Amino acid sequence: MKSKYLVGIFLFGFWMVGTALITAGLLSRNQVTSVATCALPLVNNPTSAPLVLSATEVAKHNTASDCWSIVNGKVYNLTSLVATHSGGSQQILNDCGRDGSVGFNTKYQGTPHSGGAQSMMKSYYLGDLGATLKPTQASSEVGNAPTVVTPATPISKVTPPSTSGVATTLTASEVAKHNKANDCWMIVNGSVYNLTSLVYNHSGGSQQIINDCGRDGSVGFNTKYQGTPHSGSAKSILQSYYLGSLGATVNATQITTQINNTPVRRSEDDD
Amino acid sequence: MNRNLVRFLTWLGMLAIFAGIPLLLWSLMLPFGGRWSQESNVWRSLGQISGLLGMSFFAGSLILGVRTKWLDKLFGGLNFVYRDHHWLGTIGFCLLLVHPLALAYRFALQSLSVAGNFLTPNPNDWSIFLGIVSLMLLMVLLVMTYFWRPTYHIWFLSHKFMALAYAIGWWHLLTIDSDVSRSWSLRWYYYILGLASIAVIIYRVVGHRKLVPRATYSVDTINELNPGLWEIYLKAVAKPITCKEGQFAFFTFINKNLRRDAHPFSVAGSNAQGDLRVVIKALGDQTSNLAQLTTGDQVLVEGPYGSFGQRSNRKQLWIAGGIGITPFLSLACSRTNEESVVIIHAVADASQNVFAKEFPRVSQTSIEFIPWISATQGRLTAEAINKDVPDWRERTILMCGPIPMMHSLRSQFVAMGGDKHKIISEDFNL
Repeated sequence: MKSKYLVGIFLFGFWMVGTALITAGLLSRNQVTSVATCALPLVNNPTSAPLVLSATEVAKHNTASDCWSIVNGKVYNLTSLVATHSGGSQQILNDCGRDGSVGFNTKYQGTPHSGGAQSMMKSYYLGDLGATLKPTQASSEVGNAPTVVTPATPISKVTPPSTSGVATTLTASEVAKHNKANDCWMIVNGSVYNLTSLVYNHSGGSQQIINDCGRDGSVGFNTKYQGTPHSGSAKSILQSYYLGSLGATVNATQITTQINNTPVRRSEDDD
Repeated sequence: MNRNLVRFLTWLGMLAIFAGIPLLLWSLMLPFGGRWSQESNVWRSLGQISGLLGMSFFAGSLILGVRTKWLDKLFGGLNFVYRDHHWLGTIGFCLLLVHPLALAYRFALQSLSVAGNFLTPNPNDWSIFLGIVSLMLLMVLLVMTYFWRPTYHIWFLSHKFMALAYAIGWWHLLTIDSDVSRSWSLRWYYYILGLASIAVIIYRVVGHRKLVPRATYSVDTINELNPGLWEIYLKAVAKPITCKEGQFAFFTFINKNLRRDAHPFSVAGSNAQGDLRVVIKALGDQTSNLAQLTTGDQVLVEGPYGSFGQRSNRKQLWIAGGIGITPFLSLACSRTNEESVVIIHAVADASQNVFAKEFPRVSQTSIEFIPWISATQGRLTAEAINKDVPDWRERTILMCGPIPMMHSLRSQFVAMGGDKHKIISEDFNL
């Protein structure tokens, strides 16, 4: 190919894509699109009293579905970032409910976040540490959170599947009904697991789990889609999500017990 | 060493230096799998790689523009050096266009407004701003090179400014927070490339009048063989160059009516004293003003370069198109080998056929001269050559002339069963 045609194609592509991104950025700047739903403590605040952004208050918001963090003296609601953080959700979860300045400033490896990432933080800003917020302020911050491209509902307490109090047979078609991030069942090597509470704690990223919600995820579990199996400890941990063998009949109580007993993992131990 | 093997080895060497080393250093910095573990990381990695390779390829292109005899020998000809210079620069530029888009798309996965901001020039974030300025400047200059085709003088000036674009880009690379700033080995790799590029810029652009070795000649005789066709004899003033047959040099004519640009011309002949003969056709704005040249004007000569036709002693077929006959003039003078040579000189009309008698006269061996007049005989084709020189397949074929003519004849010869390794062309499209 003549060099000028190659350059022409790349120049055309550069201006098309670049213009599209800049235009999309301008248009989306003040838009609120899909917003990650999460627990809104202030909305639920029965007294509607002003809220002081103290360290004690921040410490109450320490889960994947309700994640606040202090960074450089300011308080941020990072709930909607948990799922999409490019460094992995665990990096955020580790600092939910506490001061994450070191993590943000150094990524725990001596390097700061980029200018773009620092700009993005502003959209999660609640207020300065120690400031007092009116009840409507925190909810409006959530409303202005950046677009979540893969809308997902991070939750720590899962919504139990509808069982109507009767026994459920763990067939493939039953598993297929539970195919969302907030209700995620999966078949792995002939057993059925409820992985809902693992979705946003999975160290390989939430998408790896979401991709196989409602279906057979044996290949993903056995190979991580790159030829390497999960570790022995990961296999042990999987058992805590066990519902029953494929084809087995379990009653509603068994399912609810499994859900309530499944821990929300916070440590890097399931790889 | 075989010409094609030389080409292969030089390309392998360039790939190793300008792609292999930075990729290896980048890959070893962090766990490789982690760089590709999520979609945003994939785009970030692509953005990083395209930036790193774009800068190293561009540095390579700059370095190859240094024009020295050792590069000429290493690459098997200055035309190959310039061809690789051109392609390294092209690929480097394309990679640099991908670099900001891939990084912006990574942000777009989380926030379109942040992605848009990332691409928008912001003087407050000066290290990114420098990168944008460098890329925009490069874009303007390369659009001139590839699409506008200005006069040689403007083109050459725009080429010099690419050094400025590269310097700004290099500053961006070394100041922005990135893998380069976090890895001493990557940083030093780019320091070395940068220093080599600066050395080339100082040698070739800034200090060329004092640093580049040139021989001084004076114009002895000027003959107009035809309207627009000049034969110029140059007398050596001091330290003449030693020219072998088939070589060319860069000539700078010192005359107030001519620009002081160096242009490459084949040396049509030379003697023991180092005096030179050149034959020049008026094809551009500089050569069209050669009528202004006078006896006694100084000429600076840089070179010689090239090895066209030097290594072949077998039966040969020379094909010259228009002014492309000039290297064959010197080849004919110096040939002592008894093997048969046939030369076909294709010209537009009969008035340009001025060298017919020269070949049998100057050569010590028998050279058969066949003129080809396109106005009456049509375009020169391999089929027509086959009729006049039926044993062409046994000969080494040397070609010099317009690029389309050479490319077309090469394809035709190969299609007719010719060995492409025995077809050698002198590409003057520098």
